[in-house]
Amino acid sequence: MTSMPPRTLLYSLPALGVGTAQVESLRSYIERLSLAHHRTARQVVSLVLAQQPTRATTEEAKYITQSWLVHSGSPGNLELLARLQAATGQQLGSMTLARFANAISLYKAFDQRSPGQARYCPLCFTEDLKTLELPYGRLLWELKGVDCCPIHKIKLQLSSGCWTNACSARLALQNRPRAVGVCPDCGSIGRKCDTASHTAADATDITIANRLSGLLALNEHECELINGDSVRKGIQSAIDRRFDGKVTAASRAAGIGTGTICSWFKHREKVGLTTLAQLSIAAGIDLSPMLKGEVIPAEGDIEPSTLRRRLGRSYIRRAASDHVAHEQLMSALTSEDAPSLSRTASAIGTTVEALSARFPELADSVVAKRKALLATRRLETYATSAREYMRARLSLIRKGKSVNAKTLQSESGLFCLDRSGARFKAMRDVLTNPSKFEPHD
Amino acid sequence: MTIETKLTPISSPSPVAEPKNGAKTAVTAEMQDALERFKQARVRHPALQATLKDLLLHIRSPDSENILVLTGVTGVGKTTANEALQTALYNEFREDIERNPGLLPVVTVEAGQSGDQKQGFKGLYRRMLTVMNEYDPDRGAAVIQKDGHLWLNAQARRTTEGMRNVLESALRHRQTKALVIDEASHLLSMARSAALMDTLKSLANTVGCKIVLIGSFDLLDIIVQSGQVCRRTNVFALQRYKDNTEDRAAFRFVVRRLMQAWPCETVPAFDAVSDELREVTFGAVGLLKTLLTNVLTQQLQAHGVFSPHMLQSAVKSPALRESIRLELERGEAKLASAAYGGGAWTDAAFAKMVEKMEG
Repeated sequence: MTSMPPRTLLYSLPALGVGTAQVESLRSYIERLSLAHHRTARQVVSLVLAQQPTRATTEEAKYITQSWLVHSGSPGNLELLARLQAATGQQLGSMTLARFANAISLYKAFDQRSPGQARYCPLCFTEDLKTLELPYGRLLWELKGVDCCPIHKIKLQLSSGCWTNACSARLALQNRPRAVGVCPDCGSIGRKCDTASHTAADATDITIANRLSGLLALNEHECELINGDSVRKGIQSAIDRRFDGKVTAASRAAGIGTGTICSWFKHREKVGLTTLAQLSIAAGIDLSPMLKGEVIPAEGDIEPSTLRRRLGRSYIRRAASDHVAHEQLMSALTSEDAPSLSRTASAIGTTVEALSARFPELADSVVAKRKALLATRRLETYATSAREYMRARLSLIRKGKSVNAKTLQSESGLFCLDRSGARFKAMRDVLTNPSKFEPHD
Repeated sequence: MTIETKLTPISSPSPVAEPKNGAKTAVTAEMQDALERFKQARVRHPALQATLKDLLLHIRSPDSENILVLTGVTGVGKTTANEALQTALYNEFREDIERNPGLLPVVTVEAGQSGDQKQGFKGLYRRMLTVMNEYDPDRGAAVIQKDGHLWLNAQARRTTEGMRNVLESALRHRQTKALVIDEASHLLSMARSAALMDTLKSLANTVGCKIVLIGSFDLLDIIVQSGQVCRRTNVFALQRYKDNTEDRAAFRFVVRRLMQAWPCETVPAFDAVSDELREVTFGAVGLLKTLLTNVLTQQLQAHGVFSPHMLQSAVKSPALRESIRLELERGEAKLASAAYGGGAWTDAAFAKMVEKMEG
């Protein structure tokens, strides 16, 4: 009998959007793959890493799926990529920026947020659902500085789930799916539960998104033409043509240090992706041809300060002006979300200490407002949980089952992971003193 | 008509090693190898080719007949047909397989009796997933998708429903065209026949692949019980060679092919007694091969020297043959009206129809 050659370890799911700016991110691919295999992402990554010749520990899989820092060209990421390619039989190189790692630095090129949060364009998800079973996350949405969808010209949504929007159908913790295109709270495919209105993107957002999306559309053959020399040649041509060869003028327009540009040539250091993007926008040239040493004009003009704020490195961003810092604090005070001081500071690229030193009273007010909001939320959680646990208690008594912490949690579907949290306190009170919650005549 | 084996006759053992008084020796590694080579010899005989052709036609067809049953008398060559089917499907999808290393066009599993009837469908699904290279099919979160929502059913071990979901996903993603269940009669121990066929029917419908059941005539009983199942089922019979000129010639051809694969220097003239062999084996190729394998074992033990008495002692006893004959007659009576190509009209009625159609 003719024997079949060995098959792949995992399903050979085709990579989506390859060769376009809408290319799928590796994170989204792993999540889709794991759902197809009816496993969690961590289980799939563990399985891939557990293959010979070198076995990785389960801790590595845990770290990968917690941080999702898989798109750079680090040795660990390259190893994961190679193993995933072998396990699926698919070419996945376009799903990360690792293909540029030889020529440019990817330091701080990605938008690093809490892994529970996802950025997405709801209109892209709606379009995906017309042809696909599950919408997918784009690599573009993972890049730092990209805040809008270049196709639909709307701001990307940032969400950790719909529960904060008072969605009633919240899944139990162990049943929540992990995929960019699915709400982790209610499991809505395409995050249809997110009813927030779409905000139109401004010209700055669109220019940055367009400039970086051109880079993602490069195919592997074109990427082979990119190396350190071609990048430096592109930078030199851009400075010569747009700034008459003046490095100072170029650095001022792009919002990057003169020394930074000089060190690219003098020490032949790798050029950072974000600084390259800043320079290309300031020079009004297309980023992807620039990497190949070519100069092609592109539309879009952004103020150097905005460029610094959106794409620049954090030590530059700390130099936010007093005016910007004051505005940010005032905005935090008037916002209903009451953001923390830490988030307020990071939004303008500065630190908590820097903000507190400049505007101590305003900073204290922001902290106080946040505390009050958290206290209110705790009370609400306590009341809601107590109500649910009382309902579960009654149900258990009717069924003739014993009421204890374990049965109460499984009956209500509310699990207490934090023993110092309001939910745990509510459960403890329901168990020890249920009469407190019973209605009085 | 081809034969799929390398014909490398082994030499008779040296005279030095030959024991006195023609005593038989224990089976050596060399003998085992020769026996194995003969067992691996596959003859693509006319009955097998015809059945395979019909079966492949239905596997390729996008019609709603999702369950294909391959049946025949014991020893007629169903397992060989299964292997030939796998080879044919592999050859058909060779380009796709080479282009996409994740593709698995045919999945074959044996519904063997494990003795643990509690396992039922879950056990069958597990075996299928194991064959499909699915790692640890018992563990993992089952993904449930319903009404535009998706959630995980994360239990310590997968339930039967969870395992079924995983199998559906695997068959869909591996783009499986045919799911072959050998010894399918054993499935009857898992559930009532109606429930069994409903389960298989829904699996085939959901995934869009054809399910090929290979087994004895018992399979016919479970199919005719439901109109729904009958509508989606077709029966293919692997016919034995009967007592007519054409079949006798075909059977002689099979005997000659097996003689070509005979791994000894002295090849007995089985073709001279092919009619007699056909009679004792009821024209079933599998039974013929068992008989000849038995003869070969004796010949190898006698250091390559053949004696006609070996044939006499290799034939099954009259009681066993009678039992096979009874089963065969009962099965063929059931099959007479159920098999593919049987037609619905009598010869006279059909001739009238042809006349009408031709105007």
